[in-house]
Amino acid sequence: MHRRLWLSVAMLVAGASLLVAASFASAGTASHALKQGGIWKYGTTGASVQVDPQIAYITTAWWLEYSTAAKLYNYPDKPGPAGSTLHPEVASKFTVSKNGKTYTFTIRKGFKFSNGKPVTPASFKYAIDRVANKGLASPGAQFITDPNGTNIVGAAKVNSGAAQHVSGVSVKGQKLTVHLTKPDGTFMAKITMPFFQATSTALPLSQEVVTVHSANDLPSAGPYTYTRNDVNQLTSVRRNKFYKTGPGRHRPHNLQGLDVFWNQNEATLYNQVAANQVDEDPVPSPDKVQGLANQYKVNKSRFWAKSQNCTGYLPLNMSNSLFKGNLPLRQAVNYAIERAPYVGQAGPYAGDTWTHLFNPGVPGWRNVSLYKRNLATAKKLAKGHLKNGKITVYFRSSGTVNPAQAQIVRSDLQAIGFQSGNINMKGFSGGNIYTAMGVKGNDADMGVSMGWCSDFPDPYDWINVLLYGPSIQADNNVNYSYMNIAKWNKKMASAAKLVGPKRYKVYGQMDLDLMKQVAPLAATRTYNNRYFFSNRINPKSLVYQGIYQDFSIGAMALK
Amino acid sequence: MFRYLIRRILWAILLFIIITFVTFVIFFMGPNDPARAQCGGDQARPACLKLVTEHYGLNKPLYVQYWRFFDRLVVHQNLGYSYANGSSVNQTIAKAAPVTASLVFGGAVIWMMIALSLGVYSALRPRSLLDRTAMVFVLIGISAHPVWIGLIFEYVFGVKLGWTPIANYANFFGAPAGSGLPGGPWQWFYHMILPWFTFALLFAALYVRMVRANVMETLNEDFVRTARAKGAPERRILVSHVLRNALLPVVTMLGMDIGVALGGAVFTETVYQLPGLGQNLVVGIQANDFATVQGVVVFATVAILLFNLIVDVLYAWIDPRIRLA
Repeated sequence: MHRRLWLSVAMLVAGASLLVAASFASAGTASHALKQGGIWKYGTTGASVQVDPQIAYITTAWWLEYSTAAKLYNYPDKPGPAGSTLHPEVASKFTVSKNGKTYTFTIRKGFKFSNGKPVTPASFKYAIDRVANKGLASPGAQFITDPNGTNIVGAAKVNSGAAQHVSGVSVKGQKLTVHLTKPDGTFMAKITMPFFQATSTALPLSQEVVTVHSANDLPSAGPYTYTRNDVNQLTSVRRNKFYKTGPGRHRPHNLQGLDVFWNQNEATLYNQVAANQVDEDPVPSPDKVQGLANQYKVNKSRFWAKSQNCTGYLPLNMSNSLFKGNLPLRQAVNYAIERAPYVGQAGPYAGDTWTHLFNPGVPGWRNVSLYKRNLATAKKLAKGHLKNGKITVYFRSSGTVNPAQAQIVRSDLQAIGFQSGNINMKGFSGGNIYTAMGVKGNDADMGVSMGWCSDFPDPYDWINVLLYGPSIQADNNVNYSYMNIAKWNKKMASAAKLVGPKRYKVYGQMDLDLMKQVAPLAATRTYNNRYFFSNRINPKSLVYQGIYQDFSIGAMALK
Repeated sequence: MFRYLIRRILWAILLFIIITFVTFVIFFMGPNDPARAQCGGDQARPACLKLVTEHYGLNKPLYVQYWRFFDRLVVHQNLGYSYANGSSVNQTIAKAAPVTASLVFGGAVIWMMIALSLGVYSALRPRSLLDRTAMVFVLIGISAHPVWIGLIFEYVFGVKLGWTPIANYANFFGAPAGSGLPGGPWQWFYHMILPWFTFALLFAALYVRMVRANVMETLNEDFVRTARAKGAPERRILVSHVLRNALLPVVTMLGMDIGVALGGAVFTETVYQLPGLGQNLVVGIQANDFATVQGVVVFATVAILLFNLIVDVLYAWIDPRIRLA
């Protein structure tokens, strides 16, 4: 087992080295053809996100962090599979102990923060100390204190407030050593999350950095750095003037910078992009999308649609009487759902229909359709399994898309035999449905318009996080199906220990087996990001990075 | 007078407690979980939710949380920190209030200019073409929603004609250094033109009607007839006798309306992307960011109570019958 782990890691490093060499050859020519400089103006209807590297934790925040962060290993600014292979960045290499519990990284010299101070192994130790710090309440703590997954020695103690420094992380010369409580196949994927980037010790240990007025307020070591953060108004990143090309430092940085305008009105933002006053609208209204696609074509000039690493599904609550021990009914729901109109409610290019958990962004995914709509089969399966014929459905009541999807599901439930009066629909605004369904013992039999996006590219983040029974607790659950089957729990736990291609193969098959043999949920769709750009931007510079599911800021360029 | 003042202040304090407590209760009645905002929203994980919930004390009983909030507010004058982005709510309000004030006071100047000119002229020439046109304007102003008006203005003057910026705010005292954004008095004025007119339209329509009615009523008063009989010039009658009396209730209304509007000109700020109190309120509600929502509510409550108190005191000072009632 240890030898196999070692071999996999060695192969990863060798492969990564070759890719780095290849990227030197290609990246240079591509970026030189593009205009250098200029400020990209990005507007979003969303609220301001956090900029503190150990607090930032949602898609837009991480999109920005990927441009400002320098990490031990990183994903290159490339589209497709090339962009999902880990490359050494600040670390020149790493080794793993025979027992798989100790990782040692060799840190390069030459990386500098935007305040001119050098990046050292202590910069990464400080990042881990901050992530684990109780007072800071970093969302990243869960990824290094997980008793069932990645658990750095001493991190839980710091997280409980009993210590200040994570004892399992040590620094000696240019070496950074991390000790885990047990071997973990996801460690390298997790350590690439922006939480664990090189962090300046100028940042307070237990206090979040919110306001930024210069490059010195929140120093970072990537190609860009934050120079401004006015909450809910403007966030600016500009080139890190200390980021000079060298070993590990070859990421593109065409733009002078990027300004993010928060809380924009949807219609106003569209008008601004149309008038070229703003360069990017990442959320054009669904009613505008078809017109944009017709006018500009898709993924050619000003309108783009790109997939997200997310899967939409309807969790079927296996702890409540209706679906408990009722595989035929769970399968019946899967056969009954009209997925095409369900996805269609979100407008053109919103995503595709989908029938299992792993979308094309998850390593190990299989391109199969498990449940084509078949009402006859659905009715046959449901017959005699409706129990008392009553069902409670939680749905999202905000907007127009979610209630319309709930209506489709309601109609499908009627089609398999539930009487209209026996379908109890309960609406929740915004994301409150997740809170309600996360409470163990809630009365929902199923939920509508729900979904999951992964934080790191590993199948563990799907199957073990969403369906592993022993993780179920009193509230805040994400196993909305409340699936807890000993046989499958064991399979999930053993799959988590695998590494390399075998890991992905086993998980890929498990995904299909689960959906067929247990059907704890009805997968419905994949998701796309849709973008509308001004005519100031150079479409040739748009490199969609599948890991963080957005265009690489470093690669972007204006005309 | 002193007892009256004390009574009004005590009422204001009681109202403040009731309003903030009701906001608290309403927010916690639904299955809202502010911790979610910091834990990745829809994909928040149990460990993160637990950590953040404890960090903000969201696991404590409602009355404990309210007491903490009240204690922090009264003793430390601290509105707390945003659940969604960790920023100080005091700072958020301090940044947003001038934006809203720019909109409200600028809008008030415009609506009073429109209301006075149209209202007085309509009253002096009832059933004339201009009077009828003014009434159509009143109808449109009252009926049309500010968001709709804003979007039409943006499209016509911003996108099609290119005369004005489509949206966003320019700081009166200059843009942040190195931001490349517009700033300074001229840019501030230039960026506020459309929001001012959008904001002013509804109030202007209401005030035109009020000014017209008051002026027409005053024109029929005995003292106006007496002034005319004494041979006073028409201009002097209008300015010194009619307007001075007709505008008294208008000025009172203006004071109260400005107080209410300072609480957040939600629609205009949203459509023009002005980072004022109204926009912060909307964003706070959407993000389950109770700290920010409560901060805006507190500010708005204080503004309204303060303006009402001033009006009450002025009334009592002008008319002793009120303070004895």
